[in-house]
Amino acid sequence: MKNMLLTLAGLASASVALAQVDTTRPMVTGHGNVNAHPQTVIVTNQTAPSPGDAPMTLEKFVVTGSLIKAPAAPAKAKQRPPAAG
Amino acid sequence: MPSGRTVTAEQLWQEFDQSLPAGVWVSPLESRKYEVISAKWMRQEFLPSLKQQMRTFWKEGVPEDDTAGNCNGFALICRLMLSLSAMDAHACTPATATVIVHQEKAFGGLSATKEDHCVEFVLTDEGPWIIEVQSGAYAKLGDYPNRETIKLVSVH
Repeated sequence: MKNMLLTLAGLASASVALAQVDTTRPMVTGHGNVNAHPQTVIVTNQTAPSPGDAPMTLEKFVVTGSLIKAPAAPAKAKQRPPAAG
Repeated sequence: MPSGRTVTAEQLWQEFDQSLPAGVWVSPLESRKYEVISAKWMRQEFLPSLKQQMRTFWKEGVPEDDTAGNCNGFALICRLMLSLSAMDAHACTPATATVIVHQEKAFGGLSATKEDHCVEFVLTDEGPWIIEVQSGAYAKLGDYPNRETIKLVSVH
């Protein structure tokens, strides 16, 4: 009986797992739907670096906040109306 | 194409999820049901036709490098031939996909190029197969030497 219960529990959990996959959305084996993992990056072997690849640095893309710290822009000059034609 | 046995989209996903290594991207499955393809028909009818089709391309001298006549193009033709056969049999969408794999080991007449390559996945009634389209060679997915370096499966 215990075995049967375990089997039934296994089947139930398998069907739950099955129901959780939306096959109309992209999937990754071992993870299910990609959109079931919001704000996480699923690293697949597509992104595995080649042996010759240099390690990527992100220094250029770090947000510095310089836009916020920038001095206030001078008052706008009076704008010229758009030219006709 | 003999028809009759089908799998649901969920069952096809389960097949991919269980038979492929973790981390392989699988395209959305847009059909509700997919036709399981007869292995006997593949051996007796389809693969000889595929080989004949490939020989025709070679005779035409289709260029290979940076043209449509590359592995992707040939794999798409294989998928198209299976789709045409399924249409003719009034069957469901065939359970087949193009597969991008890193060719770490030689298979089906192609050496270990250590580059990305395109082959065909077919779910037969004997289990999942991988076909080297350009030679017509096939292996059960479990015996496919580059199974661990499969990257992407595109069904549609």
